[in-house]
Amino acid sequence: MKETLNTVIEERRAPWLLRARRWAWGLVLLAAPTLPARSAPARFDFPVTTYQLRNGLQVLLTEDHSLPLVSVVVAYRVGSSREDVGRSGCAYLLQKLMFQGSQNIGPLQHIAHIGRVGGDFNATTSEDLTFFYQTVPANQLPLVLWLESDRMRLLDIRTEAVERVRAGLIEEIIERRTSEPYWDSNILFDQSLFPDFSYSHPVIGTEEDVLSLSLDEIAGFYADFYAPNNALLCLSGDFQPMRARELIARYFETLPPGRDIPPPPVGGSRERGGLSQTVRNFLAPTPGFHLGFRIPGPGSREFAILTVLDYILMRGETSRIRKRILHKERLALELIGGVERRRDRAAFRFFAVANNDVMVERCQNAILSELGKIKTAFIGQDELLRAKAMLRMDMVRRVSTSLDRALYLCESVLLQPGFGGFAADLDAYLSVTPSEIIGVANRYLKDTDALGLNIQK
Amino acid sequence: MSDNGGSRRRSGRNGGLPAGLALLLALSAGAAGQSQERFRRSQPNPDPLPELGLPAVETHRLSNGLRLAVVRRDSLPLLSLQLLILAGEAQSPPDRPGTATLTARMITQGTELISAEDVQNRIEALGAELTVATRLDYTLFGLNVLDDQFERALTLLAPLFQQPAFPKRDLDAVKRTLRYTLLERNQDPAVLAKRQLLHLLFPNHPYRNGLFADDALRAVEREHVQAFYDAYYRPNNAVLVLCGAIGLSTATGRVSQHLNTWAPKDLPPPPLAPVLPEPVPRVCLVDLPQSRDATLAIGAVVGPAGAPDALPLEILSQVLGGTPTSRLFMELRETKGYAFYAFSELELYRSCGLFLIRARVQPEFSGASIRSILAEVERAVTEPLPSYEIEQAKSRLIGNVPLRFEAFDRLALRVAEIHAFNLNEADWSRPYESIMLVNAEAVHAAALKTPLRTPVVVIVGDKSVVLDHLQDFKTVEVYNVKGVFQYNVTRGG
Repeated sequence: MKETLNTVIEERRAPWLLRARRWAWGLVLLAAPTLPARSAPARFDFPVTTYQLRNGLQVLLTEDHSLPLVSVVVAYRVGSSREDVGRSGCAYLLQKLMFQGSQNIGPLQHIAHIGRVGGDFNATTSEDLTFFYQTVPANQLPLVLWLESDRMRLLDIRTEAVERVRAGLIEEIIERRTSEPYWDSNILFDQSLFPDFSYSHPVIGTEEDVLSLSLDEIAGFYADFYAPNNALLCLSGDFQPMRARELIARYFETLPPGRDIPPPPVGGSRERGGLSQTVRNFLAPTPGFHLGFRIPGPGSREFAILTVLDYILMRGETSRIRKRILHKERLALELIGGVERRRDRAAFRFFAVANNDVMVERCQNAILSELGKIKTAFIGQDELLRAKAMLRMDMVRRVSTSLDRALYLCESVLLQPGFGGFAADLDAYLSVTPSEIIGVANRYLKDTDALGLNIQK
Repeated sequence: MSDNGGSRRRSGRNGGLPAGLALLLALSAGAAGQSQERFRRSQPNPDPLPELGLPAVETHRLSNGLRLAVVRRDSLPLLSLQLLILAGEAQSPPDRPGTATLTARMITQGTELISAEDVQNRIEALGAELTVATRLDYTLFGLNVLDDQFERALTLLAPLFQQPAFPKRDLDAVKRTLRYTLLERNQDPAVLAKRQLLHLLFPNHPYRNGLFADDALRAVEREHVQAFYDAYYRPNNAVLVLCGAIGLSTATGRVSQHLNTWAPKDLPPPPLAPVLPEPVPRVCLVDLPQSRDATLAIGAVVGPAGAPDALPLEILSQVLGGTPTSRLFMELRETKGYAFYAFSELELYRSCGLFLIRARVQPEFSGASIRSILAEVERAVTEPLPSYEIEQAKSRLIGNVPLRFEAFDRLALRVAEIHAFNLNEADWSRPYESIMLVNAEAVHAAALKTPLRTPVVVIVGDKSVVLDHLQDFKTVEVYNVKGVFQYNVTRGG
């Protein structure tokens, strides 16, 4: 995306929006091929059709004829959590390699083809999923399906392309490490919250691991995970269903499935008990800390309740904790946090930096004190309404373009057990009550279960 | 710490297929290609080009002069409201750059009866998002809100525009926050390069200080903000655009109820656009010590938004550097390996426009990169562009039209800009036709009229590294990081 500098100064007064997607990950494989039909408690929803090809590719179709556009998302059930110890960065490297050419598409030609028709494209890799997506004029649907089908199973994995991508990735890792002074502490705290290797190493990988990935290993990872039976294809926007099905069958039906991939093991550490560590970081401009709690994963009632609590405590400048720490008592220079999800587990976490160690301690105490208030007194009606209004707006914004809608559907179908459509999803949050919040806070946000990591200069 | 990382069945070395077999399988795709279906071998034809049914823009002018434009879109329970004030940084007093920006930010700080904290509380209670952007020619307030909250949103916004308080304490706080933002922004070499380019291209012109430095804010006091508000924040100098599930009559009724009391006033006469000097090619280096890269901004002044040459120049820009497959990117990055990126773009303002080329290059290739860019510009301007490149650029622009209008706030913004710049109605209603009509002759003629062959070149980089690589240029003007001229480096010849 091109940057533009013609905006002299731009101010945005809804910072929670910037963080909303950052905390949204996790994965559970969908057992049923279709979405269950449920009555929509909210008045806004959109219909989705699902089916599956013989080779296992799941397809989601959602029409919107407002503008002649179509978004195509291919989501693979693979991310950094599928990497082996010592092989981190493989999924992210493959994301980049997917633009380096396949059997019938030359290097970087995918980008050129999409650009020539005026489309947009991008790709992302998280712990659990890898997305490739593009939005094009509606009449270019055949082009996108041709491009995406070619790199599904027919990727050109050659030394020259791999080395080019590897060099770029190493540069990116070094850049991140040197430009983000709290990077290492973040990884260390991830290891406390999500103790198994799957979720405690960086998506981007480490320099040593990326350097040691062999061509065989990369090809093996691709063969295992970038196959139709491990993928979901979503079309969103202006298309005729019959024509779309015809094109999908043409380009994807004959792709061979990969071997059956066992689902990742369910679980992760549920152990309780607080833990506090201290690290020295000479690169950090100021001291800071991480503080967090392990909480139940996506799809559970507790997760919905704690998400609403996240809005009460941390979303927006008038939320309880941000208001107190950043505006009223000015204890921290920066404070971020909230619910962070993985496939089957989640955390409620905070990260703050402050001027000195005394302020760090006061800031931690202030957070724990605010959590204490949540456990002992009902949330007022206005405060709950505010949180729900913000959450409702965020949810609507998440489906406000054809691409947003396709990404939302892919994430929800792949990561949220029992996903029943947008309206039902929203209703789960809007139905949260003050007494549920007190109950869940007392169960999962105990001081004695807090995990902490202090960063000293 | 890992507890079960090795216990699972994995791909590659620790599980899954044996590595050699996996590689064989992956590479055998090539061999299998011998028997692949024929349709996979070539790019499919597109389906017929669909109609682009852009929603109609309905307009109404309230009795106080406020122009209301409504674009009905029923696909989401969302309303995007964009209030455009036809005054931006170009209207800031020349000795007080930043006045427009500070005024806009102070509008959101409340009234005598509503504190800044109350405003924030009420925005968040709506679940809304309020944005403020000050550009050269206008200021834009954007509010995205769920449609059932529209009435409450108007109730909140109306007094902010009609009875702002501008308390000194809040002004100081806003200045402090803005100063930190500017300090951070002005560490970005791309911003420094653009700022210097505006300084050099627009001497004695209001656009000169479009990107002002943080210390400029010291000169702006409460009375300057009040005066700016009094002069420009008038309904007869504003356009309100609504996009979402609302019709014109409902919108008119509700907006009238809240904003009809906003008093109109005669506006200051627009200043005569200063005559810009004849373009002279210059090479200027802004010294940014320890900068790892060299950042280039190369620009020339072109016609304003709505000028007949705007679309041909947009196509020229697309061919030259609009995308990662355009000439500049391919030449500087893919072929020669000088650059991290190289793009061109057209920025159109009310009284003129800027044809901008921007690149980030390795410092040791600064001079070679500038030479390559200037050679590409020379070729694009003097040699008629091949028809296939023009058709590709047109295809890209046409295809991109609906993408630009999909999000409600972007759609509303475009409508606001059409009003701000008095653009041709066809730009909205028949975008495909306008682009289709541009031919190679029009692009060539427009290119020849521009001063692109005598551009101003700005390089931001560490002078101790970069200067050695600019020896081809007879004179290099050296500036410090604040944009203050230091000295010329002149070489013989």
